[in-house]
Order: sequence, then structure tokens, then C-alpha cells
Amino acid sequence: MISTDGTLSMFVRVIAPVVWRNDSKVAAKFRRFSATEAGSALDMLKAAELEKDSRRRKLFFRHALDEARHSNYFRDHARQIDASEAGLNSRYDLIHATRQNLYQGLPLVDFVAFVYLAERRGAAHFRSLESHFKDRPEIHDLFKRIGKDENFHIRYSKRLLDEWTREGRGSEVRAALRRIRLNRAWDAWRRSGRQMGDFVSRLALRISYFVVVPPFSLIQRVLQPQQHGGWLTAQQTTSNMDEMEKMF
Amino acid sequence: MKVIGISAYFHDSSAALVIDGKVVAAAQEERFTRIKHDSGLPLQAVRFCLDYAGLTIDEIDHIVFYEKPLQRFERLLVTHLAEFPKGGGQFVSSIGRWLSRRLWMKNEWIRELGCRADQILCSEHHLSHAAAAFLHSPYETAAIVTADGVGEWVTTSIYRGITDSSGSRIEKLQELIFPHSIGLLYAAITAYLGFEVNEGEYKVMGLAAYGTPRYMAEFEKLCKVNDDASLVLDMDYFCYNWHATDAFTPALEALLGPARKPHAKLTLPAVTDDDRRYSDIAASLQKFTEAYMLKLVQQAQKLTGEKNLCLAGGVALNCVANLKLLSEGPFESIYVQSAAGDAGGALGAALYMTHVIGGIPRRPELNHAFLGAPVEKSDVVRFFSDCGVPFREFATTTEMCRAVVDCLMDGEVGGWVQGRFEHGPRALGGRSIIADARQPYMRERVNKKIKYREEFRPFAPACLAEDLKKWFVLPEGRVEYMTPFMCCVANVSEEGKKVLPAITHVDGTARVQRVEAAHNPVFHELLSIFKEQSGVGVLLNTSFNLKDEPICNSHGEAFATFMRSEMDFLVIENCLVRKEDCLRLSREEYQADETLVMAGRN
Repeated sequence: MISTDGTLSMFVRVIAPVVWRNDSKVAAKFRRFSATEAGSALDMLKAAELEKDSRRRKLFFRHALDEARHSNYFRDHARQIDASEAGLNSRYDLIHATRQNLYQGLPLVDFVAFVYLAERRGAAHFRSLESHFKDRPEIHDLFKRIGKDENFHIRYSKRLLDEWTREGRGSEVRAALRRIRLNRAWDAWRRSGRQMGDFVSRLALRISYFVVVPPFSLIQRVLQPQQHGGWLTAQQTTSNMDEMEKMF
Repeated sequence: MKVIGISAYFHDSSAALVIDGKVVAAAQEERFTRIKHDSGLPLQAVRFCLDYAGLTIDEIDHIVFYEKPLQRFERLLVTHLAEFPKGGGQFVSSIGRWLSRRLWMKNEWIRELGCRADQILCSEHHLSHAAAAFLHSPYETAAIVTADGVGEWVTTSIYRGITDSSGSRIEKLQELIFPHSIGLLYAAITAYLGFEVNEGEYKVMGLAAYGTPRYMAEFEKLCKVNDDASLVLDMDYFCYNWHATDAFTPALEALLGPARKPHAKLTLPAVTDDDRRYSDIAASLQKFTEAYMLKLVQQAQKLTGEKNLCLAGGVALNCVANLKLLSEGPFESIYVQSAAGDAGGALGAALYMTHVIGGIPRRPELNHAFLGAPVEKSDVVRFFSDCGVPFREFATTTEMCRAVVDCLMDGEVGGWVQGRFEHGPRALGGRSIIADARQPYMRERVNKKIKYREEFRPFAPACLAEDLKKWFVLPEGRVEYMTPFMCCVANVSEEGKKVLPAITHVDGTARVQRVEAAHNPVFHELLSIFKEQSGVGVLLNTSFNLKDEPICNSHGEAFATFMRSEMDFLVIENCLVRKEDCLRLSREEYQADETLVMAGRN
């Protein structure tokens, strides 16, 4: 579930010669893909663990195994392409993956809608890369093999959504798809907003550090000489309910 | 009285639920979020505690934070005022965090936990540590020593714990304050040696065994220890009090030589001068820490006159130093609880509220650490059946243990998941990776191919309680409360060194776990059956995780870890899965079978 918007596949094709310009870049990208796929595998396996319906559970489980296999493919190719020490040192990182806890965080229909849309984006991305690497058969084949699995994921998630639609839950499915698309945009907006906010607050704090802190620093140095270690005879503080209620 | 304790916002967030003095549940947040040392508000851990007890947040009388947040904030401000203008970077990052979140802690709790403001209380950091150690312990009176990096202001403290007819009290006697801290010295040298702080301290302990402590004079320059066990760090060598990312200054490198770069190759036994220097520095740090801790507990004994000691805080997890305290210290008995670090602060805060403030009488000591989430056998069977994972289900635990022992006797390595997971950093037979400790190659195999971690790191043995003396040499009569939670190392006996190479560290020690039938019956049965077949009631026991990941919680996570490593088998409750049977699951041809998609309901 490598997240690149399908509508940007043309963009992927245009920038590919720069992004994938040499073997070291390819290996680094593959390592990142490997970690992402491993993370997706963990998410899908968690979904399989928690899902009660046995058919969906098996589908999620198979999806998890696919993602794990993709992670291995990328890892092995990264190793083949870049066998330098940096590549070897990062082998620890390759097995390290983080889970996003998507299944726990989303209602089931939203989760499947997420899988469907993410897999569609992933498949479009990989198709672009498949065509970019048409002169390198081993990488071309890699994306082709993975693309086959991605199509399977698209088909099963679409099928689940279609089944729910046929069961009279069409509006719920449409709303879920809309929510996931919007969430993606909203998340991107929030990320950029957070970065901007972070920048502004850091700037404000940096200014206040040099404007507000100096006089207080001076006062503090005059009034409270620096501690030179040694035991302090302790006073009992938090020993009754009133003191437990205090945050200081 | 129903009390939830919470530790959060620093590292190893956790939650604990104590009902009328009984510890019902306790868990670290990382086990649920899968973020190692997760420092966020432990929402999932709290939810687990409530679900486990069948309670809602409204039914909880008090929710106790393990420290006074505004005192910590005060320390931050005062330190920045004192260090101006050096600490601009740390000021921006830490004050930013406080202003955006931690100052509004109560609001966050009310919003996220759904609790009321009047439920929220605050203990003190070191008091919580002390309470976790003492109120859990088997002693009616004891000296309590807490030592960690830093709490609000305090870095090290000495208390006296008393339980008598009037109730339980914890009296604070002496304390050292920031920045002078044995824990922060250890952390700074851990960073100097290229390991991650709050994670790499175990590695430094393992590395120390390969070195010679030839840097003691340099360490005496770094840190002056007075006769009364107070210490003063020379802050020309350290900058953790003001620097945003670094813990030490160039002066430390001028004294000890260039620092090791993180992830730089380290070969042991040392082949290069640098490798030798790093291991010697680690050995010197370890020796210095041991000497300091010994002095500290002597001071505690002098102040309190007690014969029992409770030890807590991150430094109490230094199992090598703990052996020194056991064998050379002035106390007859020492107790270290399973989660002696910050994760245990949550439990301490809840216990303090219950017994000291609430006046509820103490219960007998907690002699096991299985306080986390359980795995349900029926869930495991359904999961494997639905997913098409080939597995064998055994009718009894004895049959299961016999099958596991067969695997172990064949030199196989496996994952072991039974019951509730452990509270604290050690795997004690709830979520463990197990192997035959008699095989010399086992240590390298488990480090390299199963846990993917540094090759020099040792493995711990789990040993039948009745066989402990045969394989390990421990101070007579003083080990009862240290060994069940792997809180101290032991010298491996001469026979043990010959028979158990996989768990014998290069210095001839091992961090032993004593397994008793009463507290850990299934694991004890496994060891007993292994002994029947091999003559040795000892297994290699390491935590069920891969490098840099938290220990597994659920059966699905155990299966994921099993599939990503080169473990040969996985046993969850009474179900056994073998890797060779699972390999076809990952094959492309198998996965390409789309019949399932077509087998829709409609």
C-alpha cells in the first residue's frame, strides 16, 4: 500500500528519471518501500486477528502475507543493487516496521474503502515504475509481480464494497469512500498546517528565548546560586489528599 | 477503592489498575501501539485495564499521575534560565512540547479518557518508584533507594517504608537533585558509546563484560562521589541539561577519545583499538556505577538501620550492579520489582494512593509479573483455522510441553506465548523466545537470525527453582526476591559453564530467572519435561520481539514476529505452529489462488 495518488502517476513518470537516477537511489527507495510494505503487512495482519468474519479474515490474512512478501522482494533487490556497507548496516532497519492501527481506528467499511483506494493508488504507481524500468528486466519484473498482487487486493476490496452495496448499504459505502478521499486531502492539509505551525511556533519561541529569558536569567542567577550537588534533607510533600490534588 | 495509575510523557508510558490493594492489571502502552518506549498518554493501556476488570472510567475513584508535572516544568525553566544563552535549541523543542500539550494535561485526560477533573491526582516521580517497590514487597519495614535519570528535580533518593498497625507510610529522608545523577551519567556514556539512550543501557552492560576498567581515573574526574554517597558531576563534560540532542560535550571526547558513531561496526572480542577502548569505557562505567550503588545503599542502611532494601528506578534494572549489592551490601534481603523503571511508576502511583493516602491495608507481595493482556485459546484456534495456518492443538499442556521439548531437543528455536504478558521489560515465560541453552551456536543464531541484534549481547537462562544452586552461584539466602524477575545476574557454576554455553556471558555470569511452579506453572512444566529428557532444567529465554520492537502482545503479533524471523516453531497456549508448514503460505502460487474472492456470499 505505497501511497501515491493515482492521479499523479503521470507526475511519477516525469520525475522518475530524477528520483531513480542511480543504483544507490534505487536501493534507498527500495528499502523505504520494503519498510512501508512491512508496515502494511502488520496492519493487515492485525485486521485479520481482530476481524470476526472468517472470509474477510482470510482475505486480510492473505493480503498481509502478500505485503510481507513484497517487503522481502524490495529488501532482497535493495541488497542486490547496493551491497555497500551502508546497505548492510541498514539490514536491521529492514525488518523494523511500524503499524498504523488502521483497523482499530476505522469502521470496517471505511477500512475496506481505505484498502481499496490505497491499493488503486499503489497499483497506478507501480505501473508507472514498471514502464520506467522497461530496460531493466529484473526491476520491471519485480513491479509486474507486485502489480499482480495489488490487482488482487483491488478486486477483493472492490468486491466487498460491491457486496455491501448490493445488501442495501450503498450510501454507507459511498460515504466511506468519500470520507477516505477527503481524509487523505485533510491529512495532507493538516500535515502542511502542522509544519507551518511548528515553524512559526519555533520562530516565536526562539525570539522569546533571546528577548524574554535574559532578564529572568539574570535575576535567577543573582537570587539562586547554582547547586553544587550533595544531599538535600528531604521534606515530605505529597502525604495527604490535598497535596495529591496539586500538580506542583 | 479503585485506582488507576498512569505514567506518561517521557518514556515507557503505562497504566495500572489497583482495586482495594489488589493489582488487577498493568501494561505498557508500547505493547498496544507497537511503538517502542511509547511516551504518549497510555490510552490503550488504560482501556485494557478497564476492560479486563469490566469497569468504566466513571467507576474509578482516582486516576493518579506518577509525578508532579509543574515541578518538572519548573526544573526545565530554571535550568534554561541558569544556562542562558546555551540552550536555545532545547528551549524551543521542550518548551514547545509543554506549551502545546503537557501543561494542559488535565484537559487532555478529560477529553481522551473521558474522566472527570476531580478524579485526577498527582504523586511524585521518585515517590511513585518507591511505592512500587515497597508496597509490592514482602517487607513490613525497609529502606528504599530510588535512582534514575531524573524525575521532577530529584535524581536519587532514600526513603524509609513502614507498615504497622497505623497503616503504611513512606518517609522521605534524603535526595539528590538534577543535574547530578548516576542515571544520567550512565545515559550520557551510553550515548557516547553510540547507543540510544533509554534503550542502549542494556547493551552497555553487555559490552562492559568484554572490557577492562582502565578508565576509572577518568570517571573520577567526570563524577566526584563523596563519602556520604552524594555525587557531583562535572558539567563541563555534559550538556544534557541544555542541549537539544547531545548528552556530552567535546571535553568528554578530549578525555576519553572520539565517541563511537551510532551503528558503527563493533566487533567483540575487540579487534581494533577503538573497539577495545569502547569496551573498556563500558567496563569502567559499569564498575563506577557498581561502586556508587554500593555506597548509596550503605548510606541508606546508615540512615534507616533497616535490614531490608527495596530498590527502584531505571538504575535498579542494572542487574550486574544488583549482584554486587546482594553480595557485598549491608542488607540481608533486597527486593526489585519487575518494572523498576518508569513503567512501574504507574503502579507505584496507584499503590501509593491506595495504601498510604487511602489507608487500605497492604496485600501479600506480588510474586509474579503476569499483569498484562491474555491470549484466549479459542481466539487462537479460530485465527489459525480461518487463515489456513497449519497447526496442532493439544488436549493438555503436558502434551503441548512434550511436543515443544521435542522441538527444542532437535536444536530448534521457538516463540512461546502463554497467558497474560509480563509487566516490565523482561520476558518471564509469558512472551518468550526459547531455545536449548546447551548448544554453543545458539547464542549467535538467536542474535543474528532471530532477533537481528548485536552479536555480543548475552541471553538469559530460565531455570527451575529447585535446580538454581546446581547451575548458578548466588549469595546464600538473599536471592529470593531478585531472581523471579531477572533482576540480578548470577555467576554460572563451573558445571554450568561447561553445560550451558549459550547463556553464559563472557564474564561467566548470567541474568538468571528462577521459575517456580506456584507462580508460573506451564513454564515450570516445560522446564521439568526438558529436564526429564536432557538432564538440564534450564532454557535460554529471551523476549519475544525483534530488534527495536516492543515485545508481542497478541497471538496475531506473535505470528507476525514468528514469520519475520527464522524461528522454527511457535506455540500459543496449546497450539503449535511449525515454520516448515507455514512456508507455503507465503508463496506466490498459493497467494494467487483467488477462489476466496469468488466465494462471496451472493
